[in-house]
Amino acid sequence: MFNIVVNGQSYYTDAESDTPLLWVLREELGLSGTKFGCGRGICGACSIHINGEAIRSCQIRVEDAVGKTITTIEGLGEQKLHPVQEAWLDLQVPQCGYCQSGQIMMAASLLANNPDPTDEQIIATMSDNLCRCMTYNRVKKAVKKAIEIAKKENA
Amino acid sequence: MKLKKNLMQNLETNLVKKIHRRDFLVYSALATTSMSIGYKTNANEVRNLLDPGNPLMIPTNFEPTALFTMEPNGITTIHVNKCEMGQHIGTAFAQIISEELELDWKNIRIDYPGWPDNIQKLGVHFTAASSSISEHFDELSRAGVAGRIALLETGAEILEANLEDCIAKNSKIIDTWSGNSISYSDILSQTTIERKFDKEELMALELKKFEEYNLIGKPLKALDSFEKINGSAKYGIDSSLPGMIYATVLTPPTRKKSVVKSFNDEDCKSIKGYIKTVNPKLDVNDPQSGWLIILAKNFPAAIKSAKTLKVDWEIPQENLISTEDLFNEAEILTNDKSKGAVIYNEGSFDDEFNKSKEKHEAIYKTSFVAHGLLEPYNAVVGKFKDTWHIITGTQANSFTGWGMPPMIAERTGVPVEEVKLVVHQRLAGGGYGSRGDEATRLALIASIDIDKPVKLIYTRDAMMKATEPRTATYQKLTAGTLSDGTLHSMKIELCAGSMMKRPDWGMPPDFFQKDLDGKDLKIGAWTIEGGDHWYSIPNRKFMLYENEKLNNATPVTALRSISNGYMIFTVESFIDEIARKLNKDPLEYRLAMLNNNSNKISSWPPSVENLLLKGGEQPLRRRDEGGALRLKNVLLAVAGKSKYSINKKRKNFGIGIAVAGAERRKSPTWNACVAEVYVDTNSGIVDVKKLTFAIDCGTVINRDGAMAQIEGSALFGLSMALHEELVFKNGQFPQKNFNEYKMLRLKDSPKIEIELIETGGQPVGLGEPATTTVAPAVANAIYDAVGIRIKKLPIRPDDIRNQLSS
Repeated sequence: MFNIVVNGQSYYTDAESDTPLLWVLREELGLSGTKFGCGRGICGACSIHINGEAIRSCQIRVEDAVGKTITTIEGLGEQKLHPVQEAWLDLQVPQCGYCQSGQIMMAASLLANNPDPTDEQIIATMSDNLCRCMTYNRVKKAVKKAIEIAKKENA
Repeated sequence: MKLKKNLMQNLETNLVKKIHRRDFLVYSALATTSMSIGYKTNANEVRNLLDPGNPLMIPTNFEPTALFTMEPNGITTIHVNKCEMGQHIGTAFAQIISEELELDWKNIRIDYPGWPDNIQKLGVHFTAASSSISEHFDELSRAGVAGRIALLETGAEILEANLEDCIAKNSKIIDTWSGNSISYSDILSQTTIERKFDKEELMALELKKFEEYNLIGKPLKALDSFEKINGSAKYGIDSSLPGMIYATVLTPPTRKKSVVKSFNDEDCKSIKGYIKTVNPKLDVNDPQSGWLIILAKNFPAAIKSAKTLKVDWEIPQENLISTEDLFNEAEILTNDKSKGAVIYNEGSFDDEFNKSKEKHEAIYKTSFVAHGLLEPYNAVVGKFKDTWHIITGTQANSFTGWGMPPMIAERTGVPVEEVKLVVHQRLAGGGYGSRGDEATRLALIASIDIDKPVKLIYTRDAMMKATEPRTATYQKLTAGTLSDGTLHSMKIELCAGSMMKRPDWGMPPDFFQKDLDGKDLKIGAWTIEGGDHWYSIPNRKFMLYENEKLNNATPVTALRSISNGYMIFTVESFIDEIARKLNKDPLEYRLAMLNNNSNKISSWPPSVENLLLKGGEQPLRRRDEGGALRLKNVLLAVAGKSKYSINKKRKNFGIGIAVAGAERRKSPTWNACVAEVYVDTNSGIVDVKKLTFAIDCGTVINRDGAMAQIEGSALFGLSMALHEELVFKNGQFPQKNFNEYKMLRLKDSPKIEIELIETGGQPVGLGEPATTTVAPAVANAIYDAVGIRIKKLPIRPDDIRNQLSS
């Protein structure tokens, strides 16, 4: 039995210790906003935050998530939309939307660590995530927009 | 208790007010156009749990057509009989209906009905070929007008106004003479509407003209975007049923025709959660022959068990071939005229080609391509009481509804006519032509076997191995030019796999064209579209050679823009090649040949084409009006927008152009693309700097959504042009994941500029067409940059290096 804290809530799971956190989140806790794409950490659809860092939840064992602060897309803008989500809405980034939880979590973590990233840093970070609808140009614009929104909020 | 009592009193007060409301009955044929509006009695009675002797009265909704429901509280829900997979089709449908119904955009919702409700009320659910808007535009518009007329007439009566003085606006009927108004919701709460539209009247309804549009064309935010940024959107994979277990699949060593001889799951039994392995025992010709379904209490245990399972397969030795073998076969086939089906033959190619001043010949090849859906195939299936429930995101909900009962009957012994089935439609995490019953049928087989609800998900490895790709093609192009350079004769010989003839599809013979030589070789439109190009070439011929070896080795299927993807690459590259050889500007050369207004060519038999064009019983509005002249127009527009010129040279920089009328001759989206590239001659790597498009889709429904579809299509096209090669080796697709099957990422995304041209005609699709012109535009730009001709997709740096060094 493991105790994990997700979006500020405490959960118990009897999953096997090597179960990827992704499947505990999705199938046991019902937090299905985090998506399964490749199972190998290549596509980024399952990105979440662990202790503030963007992590592929298909690549981390549930046992290793114990005692960490876990945030999923459901917990990102719980009270108020996160600037990244606001920008995503404003620029209408999602098409099928399947990869977008992962994209948003990546962008939010980038901004948390670096409130004013360069274009190169945005491109490098966001190139880790695949989007088969190829919404990339809007992703790029939306990250920049999110930076502006966050700056205004903090001003 | 007190609170509840108050609530009850409130409800009753409300009901007194609404008691005279009547409900509208709809009689709708499959295509919903023969809609008629009648009415029935008062609000519904519902058992009151607090006071069973005193029934609750639940107010009913206004449903003048099955396409939408208006609640008395002012909310309108649009029922979308399409698969939402990124195109925001519900938003576009809602915009079309709201335009005519004069709805307040703030109170609109969308939902996605499933089988059998959808087919009974809304017709066939099939989402393909960029056809949703063009096929349903009239139907949706007319439904909106009919609803508006009913509300106008009733509203005028309540306002005691002259009907002529009344207008509908923002979900209100306004008497322009007195200034009085009444909202739709108040009308629906108070009155009885008795209005019936027969089919003739419906067809005679006057629709708004292009210049009168208020909502149509606006870049409104998609109605489904909020749920897609907060994790609440529900895709097939997010579904569940009570008591379900999990399943995954194990694929055999060859894509087709492997058979399970035996399997041993002894070692799986030590894996916690493993339940059992089911052998579906499908026919050897079935695309899923030789597959096994592994059941477990959770998905990770199912994956682990699949890896542990020992299986002995009977492997078809003749299938242990590769793409190269299929191309070799194609070369042999295309050298044997008796094997070819003539699709069109205008003028006389065979005679005139010999008379030409200069002869041109080229072989083009395109690889297999995968859909690369990010959401793996999945389905949740279970039986409750006597009804089967399937929850999934399919592009063809109706095909699931038709196709699964026979399988249920066969495997349960229940007579097929007694099988009860509901197919719940969910969002799809990408579709691009591939999402059907792949997972559904296996989940169903497993659920029947174990008598429990099953959630089946493919692993990425299985997704890759199980690909039903876009066919690899081998194409021989031959042309003759006259002394002035006129392209006088051209022949395309295409060798490809066939999707429409797949035995598991069971397409009726009527859906195939006959070959012109009467050889009884059936031609499937989805293999050839794009070869029926718009250039005026007096003597031209198009032949199809079916690669049976390929058909035996792998099933192939539709992939974003279907055959246009490979046909337009070759046609647009070859025309460019000829123009360059003759020292002509490829733009000028194309413009000179785009002058034909006639449209005799159809890739479908006339009966099917009519069905496709009318979308059921719609009045025929031509989508191809203007013909090749509209292609000429977009070419000129894209040339202007991109400042196209082949005369300003920077070393290793190049510009290329391409144009196409995909999806098909009778339903074209007029699309031209200019690509600007830089070629690194040392590495052979192509850096695409910019893509510019001019696209005429008749009428734009949602400007922002239209742009998004084109942006995505453009990059999808570029991804296929530069990155995506689905390897076929020893009878299977061996690439395991996205590290081996590479798709375009953000860092490789060029700048995109788009000019949307609106001619005010029938709206046509935007979901796919822009994928088609990118590869030829890039290939033509590479020629412009470094003088080498790309004749193979995807474009590989080593191909460029080799050509440069030879």
